[in-house]
Amino acid sequence: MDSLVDPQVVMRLANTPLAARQAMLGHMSGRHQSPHRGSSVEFAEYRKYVPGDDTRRIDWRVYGRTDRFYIKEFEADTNLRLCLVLDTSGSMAFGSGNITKWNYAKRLAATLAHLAISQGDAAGLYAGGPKLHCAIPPSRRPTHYMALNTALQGMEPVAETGLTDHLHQLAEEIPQRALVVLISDLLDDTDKILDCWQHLRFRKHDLAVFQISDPEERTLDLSQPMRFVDLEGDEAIVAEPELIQERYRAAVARHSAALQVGVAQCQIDFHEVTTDEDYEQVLIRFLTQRLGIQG
Amino acid sequence: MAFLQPALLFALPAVLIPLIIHLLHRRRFQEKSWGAMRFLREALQEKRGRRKVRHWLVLAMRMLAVAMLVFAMSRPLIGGWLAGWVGNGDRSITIIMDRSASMERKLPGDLTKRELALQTLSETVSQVNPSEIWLLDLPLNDPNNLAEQFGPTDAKADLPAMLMKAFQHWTRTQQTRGELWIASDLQATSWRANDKAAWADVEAAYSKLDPAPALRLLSFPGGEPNRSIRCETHQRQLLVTIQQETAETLTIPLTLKQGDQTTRRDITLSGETTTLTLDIPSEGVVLGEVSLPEDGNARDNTAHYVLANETRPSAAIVCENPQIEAILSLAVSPTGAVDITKEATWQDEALIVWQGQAPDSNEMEAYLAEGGQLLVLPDEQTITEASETGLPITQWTHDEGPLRDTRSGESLPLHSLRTFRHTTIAGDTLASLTTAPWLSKKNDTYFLATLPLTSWSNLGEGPVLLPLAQRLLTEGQKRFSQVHVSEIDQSPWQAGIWPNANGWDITVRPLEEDNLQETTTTSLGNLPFQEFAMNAESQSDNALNEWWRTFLFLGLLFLLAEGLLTRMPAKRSVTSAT
Repeated sequence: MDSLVDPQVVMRLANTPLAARQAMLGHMSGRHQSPHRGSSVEFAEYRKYVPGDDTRRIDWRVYGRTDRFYIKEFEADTNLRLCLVLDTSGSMAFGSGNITKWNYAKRLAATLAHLAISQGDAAGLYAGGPKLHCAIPPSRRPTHYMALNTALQGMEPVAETGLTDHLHQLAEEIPQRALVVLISDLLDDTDKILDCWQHLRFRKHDLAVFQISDPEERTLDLSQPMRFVDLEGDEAIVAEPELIQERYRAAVARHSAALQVGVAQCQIDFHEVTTDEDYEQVLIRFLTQRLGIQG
Repeated sequence: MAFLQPALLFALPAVLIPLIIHLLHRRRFQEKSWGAMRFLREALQEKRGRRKVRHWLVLAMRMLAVAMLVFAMSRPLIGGWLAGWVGNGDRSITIIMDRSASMERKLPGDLTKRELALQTLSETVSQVNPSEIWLLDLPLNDPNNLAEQFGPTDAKADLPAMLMKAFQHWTRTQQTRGELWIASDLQATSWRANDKAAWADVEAAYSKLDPAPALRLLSFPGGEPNRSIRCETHQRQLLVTIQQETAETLTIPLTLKQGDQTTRRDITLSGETTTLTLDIPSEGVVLGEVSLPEDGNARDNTAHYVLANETRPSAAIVCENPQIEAILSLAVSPTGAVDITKEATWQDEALIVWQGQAPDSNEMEAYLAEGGQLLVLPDEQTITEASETGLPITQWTHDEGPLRDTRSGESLPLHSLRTFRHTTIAGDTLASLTTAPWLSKKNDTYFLATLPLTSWSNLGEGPVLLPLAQRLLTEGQKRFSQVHVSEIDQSPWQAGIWPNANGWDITVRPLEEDNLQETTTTSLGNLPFQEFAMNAESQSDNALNEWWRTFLFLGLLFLLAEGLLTRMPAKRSVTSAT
C-alpha cells in the first residue's frame, strides 16, 4: 500500500461501512438495498402467483390457509457503485499549509475507493478537464484498487477545467444508479454547479460533495501587498489584502450561501472541508452521517 | 509669507517620499499563486472608487504632513515685522534707532519704547542672521551690543536727516541686498511731519537708490500717561512749567532741590499746561533741580537750574526825540531795574535802541557777535507810506523771535496795532503789514518800520512794545550771565548742569520732545514704509510673528488624519454564510 492511503486510517474506518442513502442497482449481491426483489432474508411483500413464476417460491402455508397461490418476495441486496469525481482544475493546486487541496482530495478519493472495494462494492474514478482524461469505470475486483491508486498518483491539476461540463457528461454516461462523490473546491459559477447537481440527481444518482478549501483562501489572512497570479490562467491582480479582506470574506460567504441553496434543493450530502482538518475525521463524519440517514 | 530659514525649503521635495515609498511598496509586492481569483475580483470591484479615494487621501495626508514639517523647520513668517523677508544670511541691515527722549516713555509691561525696540531688534537680528549690521554708518559686530550702542538720551531726533544719512551710506557702500530698519515712536516733531520740503528731499534721495532697500518701521504708538517739567530762572525766581496730556485737575507733589537741600510741596495741576513761580531765597550761587513724581517717562520729570550772581543790566536808547526816548525807556525799564544811557559804548549794554542809520563799525559787529541786541528805528523824515485809518499787522512769527507766543501759548496782541506811517525795511520779515514788512532781522539787527508815536502808530501803548523790549533785553543780557542754557545737541546727550570756565552750562531737553503728537507714515509722503506697530499687548516675539508652531500642529493634524483614515474599518457587508 502506498502513501495515498494510510493503513492505520483504513483500519480504523473499516468498522464503519460506506453506505448508500438510496437503493442501488447492481449485478452482484451486496450489502446495499436494491430496487429489485431478491433472496435476502428480509421479507418484502406477498403477490399472486402468475404462470412462469418459480414454483419453489410459492408460500405453501398461505396456500393451506387461503387455498390460493401467493409468492413470498424478499428484499434484494446488491453492491454499490462508487463513482469518484475529482476536480483537476488549476485552483486545486493551491495550498498555504503542508498540503495542497489536490493532495487532500487524492487522499480522500483513495481512502474512499479502498473502503468501497474492501466491503465488496465497485469503485471508479473520473477526473479531467474539458476533455475527460481519466475515466475508470467502477469495478469490485480487489486488484481494481491498484489501478485506481496508480491513476490517482499519476494525475496533476491542469490549468483550466470544465468541471460542470464534466459533471453533465458523467450524469449521462454512468449507466446505473451510483454513489457519485464529487471532490472539488467548487470555485466556479454557482448556477452552473447547481445545474450539474440537479442533473445528477435527476439521473437518480446519490450525490456526495466534498468542497475542499484552503484556510488562507477563505480568509485572505495576508498582511502585505501581493500580486496574485491565477492558477488557472495568466491573469494577475495586485491588491493589498488588508484593504480588501472584509469584502473578500463577504464574497466567500455569498458563494457558500449560494451553494447551500443548491444543497438543500438537491438533497446533497455536502461537506465543507478545509485542508487544515484531519481527513480521517472528515471521512468518519461522512461515513457515520450516511449510516444515520440510511433508510 | 517669509521664511527665517529658507534654505530648508530645499527639503520640500521630501513631500514625494511617501509617494515614492508607496510606489516602491507597490513594486516590491510578493507574487502569490492564487486559486480563488473570483473572490479577489469581487472584492476589488465592490466600492472600488471609494476605496481608491480613501487610499489617495491617506497618501495626500502623508505628503501634507511632510510638507508641514518642512515648512515648520523653515520657520515661516506671516505678516508681522518681517513680512516679506527672504533672508538666508546674505542681506545687510542698516538700523536707524530713534533715541529721542520721547522713546523713554513706558509701554504697558514696564518696558520703555526704546527698551522694547532694542529687545525686538536684538531678537530679530539674531534670528535672521544678516550678513552685516550697520548702525547708520557704523558697523556692528555683535548684535548683543545693541543695547550698549543705543542708551537713553534727553535729545531730540531728526528722522529725515537720519534717513538721508542712511541713504548716503547705502550709496557709498554700494549695497545691493539689504534693508533699512527704523525703530521710532513716530513723534511728529522728530519726524518733522510738517516739513514737506525735507520729506521731498528724502523721497528724491530714496528714488535714486537702485535697488531701493526695504524700509521696515517698528513703531510704538501711545504709552503710559506722562507729565513733563521745565524751568527757567529770572533773578531769584524759578519759572516752572508743567505739561500733561489731559486737562484734568489734580494735586501732585513737586520736589525742589536747592544745593543739598530738598523740599517737597504739593501743587495743583489745572489744564494741559500749569505755570508756577517759585522764590529761591538762598543767596549766592544755587545749583538745583525740580522734579515730578514718577510717571510714564522718567526722562522728562526733572528740570535743572542754576541761580548765579547776575549783573545789573544796562541799555542805551539813542534817539533825538525825547518823546520816543521816554516811551522806550519805560518799555525797557518799567521798574527802574535797568541802567539806561543815551550814548552807546557797544560793550556794557544788553540792548541798544538806535533811531536812524546805525553806525557800521567794528565795535558794533563785535557787539552783535557777542550776543548784544540792537533795535533800529526809522528816521521821522523817511516816511514811505501813510494811512489815515492805520494798517493792521496781518502776520508774524509766532514760534521764535521777539514776537513769539508766550509760554502759555498765547499770542502777543499784534492784531490790535495800527500803523499810520511806516518806512521800508530790509531783511527777514518777522511781522508784516498788508503790503510791507513791519519788523525784520538782518545781520543780527532788528529793524522796526514805524515809531512809537501816536502819529506813526499805537505801538507806544505798550502791550506789544513792552514784551518786545524786555525780550530783547533778556536775550542781550545772556552774554553777561555765568549760566549758559542750551538744548542738547552733542554727546553725552544728557540733560544736566556742566561746569565750564565762565560758569555753568545747562543742557535741557529740546522743547519739541514735550510735544507728544504722533504722525503717520502716510502723511509723510510716498515712501514705502512697512510699518509694524507694537501695541500694548505686543511682545518682542510677536513682532517676528513666527508660524512654525501652527505648521507643526497642522503636520501632526495631518498625521492624525492619516492614522484615522488608515485604521477606519471598511463598511461591513451584511451578507454572511448560513
